[in-house]
Amino acid sequence: MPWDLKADRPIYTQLIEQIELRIFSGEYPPGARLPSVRDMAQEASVNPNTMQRALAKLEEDGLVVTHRTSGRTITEDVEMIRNAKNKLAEQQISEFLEKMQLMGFEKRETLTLITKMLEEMKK
Amino acid sequence: MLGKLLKYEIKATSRVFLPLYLVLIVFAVVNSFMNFNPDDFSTSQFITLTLYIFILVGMFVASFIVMIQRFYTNLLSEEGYLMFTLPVESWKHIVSKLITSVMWIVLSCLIALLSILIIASQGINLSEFFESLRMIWDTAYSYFGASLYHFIVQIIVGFIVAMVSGILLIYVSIAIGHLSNNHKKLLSIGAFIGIYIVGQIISAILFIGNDGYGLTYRITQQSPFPFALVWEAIGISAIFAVIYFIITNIILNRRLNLE
Amino acid sequence: MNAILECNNIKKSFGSKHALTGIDLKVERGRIVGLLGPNGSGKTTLIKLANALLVPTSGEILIDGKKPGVETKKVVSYLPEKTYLNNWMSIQQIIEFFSDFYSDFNSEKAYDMLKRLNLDPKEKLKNLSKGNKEKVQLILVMSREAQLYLLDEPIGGVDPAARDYILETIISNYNENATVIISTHLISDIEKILDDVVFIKDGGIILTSTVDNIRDEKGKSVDALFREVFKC
Repeated sequence: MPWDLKADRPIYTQLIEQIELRIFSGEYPPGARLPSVRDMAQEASVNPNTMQRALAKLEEDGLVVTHRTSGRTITEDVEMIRNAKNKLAEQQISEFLEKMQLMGFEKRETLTLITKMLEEMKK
Repeated sequence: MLGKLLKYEIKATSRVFLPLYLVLIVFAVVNSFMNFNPDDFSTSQFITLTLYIFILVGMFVASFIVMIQRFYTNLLSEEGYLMFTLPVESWKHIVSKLITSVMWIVLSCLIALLSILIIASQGINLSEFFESLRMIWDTAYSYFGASLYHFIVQIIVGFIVAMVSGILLIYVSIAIGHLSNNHKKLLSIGAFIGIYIVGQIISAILFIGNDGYGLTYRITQQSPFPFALVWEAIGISAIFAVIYFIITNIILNRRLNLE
Repeated sequence: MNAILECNNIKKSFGSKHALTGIDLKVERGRIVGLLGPNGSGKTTLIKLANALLVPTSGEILIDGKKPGVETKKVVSYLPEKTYLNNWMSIQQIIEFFSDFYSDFNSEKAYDMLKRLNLDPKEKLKNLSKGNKEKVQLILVMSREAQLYLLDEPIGGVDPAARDYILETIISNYNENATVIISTHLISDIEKILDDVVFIKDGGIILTSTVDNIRDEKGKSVDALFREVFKC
């Protein structure tokens, strides 16, 4: 997954989101070692300080763990990851549903649309 | 650091001088085979001799030009960004260029002398030559006595001080010219002429005195040679040199303004 | 540790021209700072003051707590806007030159970068294209393990690929004791690697902030804010 950073939002919040995505999608599996801050910063073409800040926040949230001697890893707490993943999903869905409502769609219409598109996606 | 600056200064300038010296010696050797007879110059002899003189003069002109160009280009044009960000005091820049300039001038004189000897060697017997040198020495010794050595030392020191003073005069003129935004070269030339004239006036006042009875009069009472007078002159020249150095250093330290 | 760069009411005039009208600035270590302003705003003057290439008309500038001089030149690595290399040396010779005068110069790094950019160390400086000369200058500057890097318009005349390489080099060189100050008017390219920005206009500072704060509070990129603030 390439890093996609937009210019009008703080970089560190975008970094947090994109690292979360990688965790949820399994690109960074539970317990996996993360590259060094500097390597990650280089990969994303951002300032190491900013990357550090993003990782610190993720640590606060429990998704990332720092080991004194062996650097950073993704948490092994699969439960927590699943919860966070679901929470993000719910956020996205509620935003989406709100928008559909604003456009004037009824709940049933929304569901039909979603089901149809999911079918097409599988193909 | 001064040693390192010297190393690079010599490297940068030897690219000009070493080839010149080589060419001069080659032409001297060529000329030495020409068997000159002053009453009868063939065209080719004339040409080779002229070329040699051309190169000889060119060598000294080059010393002069390189001296100016090194100071101006290396310190006060774009290369100045490289040189003045080095962790080196400004005075070391001045000294390294000064020493290198003196070195090349002295070397040029020696090489010139060597080339003349080479040319002259065709018609002169080496032992006769050294014999006549001895005679000159003996004559001089009989006139000066033991103070001949003093005389020689004075000439050498005087030569070097005059050179150093002259070179520093050039440097301070270039530095003063640098202070102007639009008329650098003009101001440099003006400064050079101005300072030179002021220097001469001060020297005249000191030596001749306002009543004609200055240093010169009082000291020429000495014989066989007014050593003290010459030392005074050398001393004054040295003081000027120091003043030029200090002014140059102040300008480089406090008034540097690279494009 | 004290701030790596401190300016206390720095003023600099050239005759009747007032290049800096009173700059107060403190830059901490380990930051990548953008000094942003239009041409003629005083960025280059400020950087030259930090390098002891100019002397302030009044006020004080301190590098690592010291006045600019021989000691500070040892820890400051400067990339000027112009090409300043002499023309008789080869790339190898200028590397040796830097190595000779700067004890913090890392020759291995320099040769590594040269190789990556396909530059031949034996090539004479005078035969290099302008773009390559600028790359060599950048390599010389970044191969020093300095405490303060001052880069004046490092991506100015350079093609986009080279720009990316330069930004990459700056990031990979990062260490938490060194500070990089980048002066430029090309902001969108470097915004994402900056920690802090300083907007300078007509010789005075009109804004200092972190990049994230600007994006957070104003909801726009630094580039967009710059265009707003400096609208002609």
